[in-house]
Amino acid sequence: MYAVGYFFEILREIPGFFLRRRSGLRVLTMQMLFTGFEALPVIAVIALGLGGIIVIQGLSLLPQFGQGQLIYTILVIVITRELGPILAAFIVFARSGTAITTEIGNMVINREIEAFIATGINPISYLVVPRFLGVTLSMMLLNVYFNVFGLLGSFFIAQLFQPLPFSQYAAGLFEAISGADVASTMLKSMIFGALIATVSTFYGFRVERASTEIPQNTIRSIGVGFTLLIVANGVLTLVYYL
Amino acid sequence: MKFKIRFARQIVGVFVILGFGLLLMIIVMIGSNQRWFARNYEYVSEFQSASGISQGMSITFRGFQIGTVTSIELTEHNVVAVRFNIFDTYIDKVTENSVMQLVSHPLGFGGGMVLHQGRRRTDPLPEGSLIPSINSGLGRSLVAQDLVALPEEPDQIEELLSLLDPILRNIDAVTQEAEQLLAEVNAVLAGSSQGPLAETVAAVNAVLLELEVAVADIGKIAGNIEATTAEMRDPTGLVPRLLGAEGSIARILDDDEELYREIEKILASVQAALEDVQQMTEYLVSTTPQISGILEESRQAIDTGQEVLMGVRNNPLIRGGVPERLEQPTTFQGFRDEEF
Repeated sequence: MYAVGYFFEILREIPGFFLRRRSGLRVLTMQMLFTGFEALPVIAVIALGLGGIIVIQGLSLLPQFGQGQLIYTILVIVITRELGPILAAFIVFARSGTAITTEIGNMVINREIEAFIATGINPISYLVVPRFLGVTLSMMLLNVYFNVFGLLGSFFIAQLFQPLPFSQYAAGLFEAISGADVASTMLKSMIFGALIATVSTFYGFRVERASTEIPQNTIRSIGVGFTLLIVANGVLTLVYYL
Repeated sequence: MKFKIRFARQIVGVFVILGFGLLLMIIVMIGSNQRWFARNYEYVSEFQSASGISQGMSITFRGFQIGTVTSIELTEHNVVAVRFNIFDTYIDKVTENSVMQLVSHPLGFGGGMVLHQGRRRTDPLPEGSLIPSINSGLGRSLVAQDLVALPEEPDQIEELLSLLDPILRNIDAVTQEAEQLLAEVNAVLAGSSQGPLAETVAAVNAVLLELEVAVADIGKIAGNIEATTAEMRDPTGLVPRLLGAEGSIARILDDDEELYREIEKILASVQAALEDVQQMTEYLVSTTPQISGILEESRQAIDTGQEVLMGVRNNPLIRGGVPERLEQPTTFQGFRDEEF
């Protein structure tokens, strides 16, 4: 319940961020740089690999059953709807979520949080909200890049093994993907981003006195975060098919 | 300051703009491919049965898809009302006196809903208008008055032949491939091709050449045998010289018992040697108990020696008193032991 209250407190402070955006804009920019931009190479490699494998395997197997056209549907289901958002979320959590927990935990140990409160600055408003927005926005953008690399980049990998005209590939792909798929994947990435930011900052603030609590809370945040991501993914997938 | 930190705002700006740009592009591409931004005009038609009609079924005109069925419902008058969209690019085809026809292929190769245009060139019908089905009373009346531009009914046999045409083309393609295969086999057999089969044929050729050489060798051997046989037949040859009355074998057999005597001498010597061996064996047998006694005494002496050594080792006064012998490596080394 405390965590739910914490989440709503973050949501309550978000409008204030846009009103006083100068103070937290730098934090938001740096958060997006570390969470979004720096995770891009990893995301690109994973997406290219995944898309390439699907295309190569699909093009070698499906035409044998006369179902070559299904390759586009499989690509959309696997990359756009299912694996894209969850894989991007895992990477972001592993890279940035743990970093956020450690950073806030260290700030608690060094009594910086108390200093913020003493000077009248709300730590949630100044520390958490920019990170929340940064991680959520980065998550959505990384998901877009994952889809671009996975769906279009895989085409170039497939060319090495089985040449296919791009016009045919693009037409088949855009025929298979629907607006609901795009909405689903973006909604998933937004919710995953919010989850990652909330869980990692929450466990950062749970550090109390000793520096030894930081790794303990980081590990806890990873366990809880991954579980919540998988559960959220299941629920959202279920909602999509209802 | 690191480049990334210094230009963080610019980098993040490009990252965000490019990301949203790509998202927008994907949405536009999907939309344009699935006609999100195109205007569709809705019309309705009535049928006696919904059998064969499905939501999303395409509406065609002269083989082109010009729209899709959006909904099917049963009215209170037990008539099936079919609502469908016509794409804006084909709206001029929906003229007055147009009728709809549900077609299904006689051989079960699918079907669809077809628009038959009215003969009069008029403005498109207003959106939401009823376009009668060809089997309804109004539709039949329009057809009877020749107000509908119906395509000529295709002959069933002609249609069947048109279905046979691709099959025949496939057979033709297969025949051509078979011809190519035969040409390839001919090329392989002629030795003017490459590949595993050509390599096999070349190997078989090499084996045949080797076989030819072997046959030539066998021919030579046969010639030699023939020559030998001829020599055997020759009365002045080797065989008569060996087997003849004055030959070597005849001489061995008729040597005035010289050979026999030699063999007898050898046998006598062998018998003498055997007697010596027998005597030696008898001596060994007679001395075996003594040797056994010596061996037994030696064993008992070794056991006693072991006990004495054990006693000396267990003696607390001198235990450990004998220094361990350290192996002193020799300082002499031959040239062979040196490592180069």
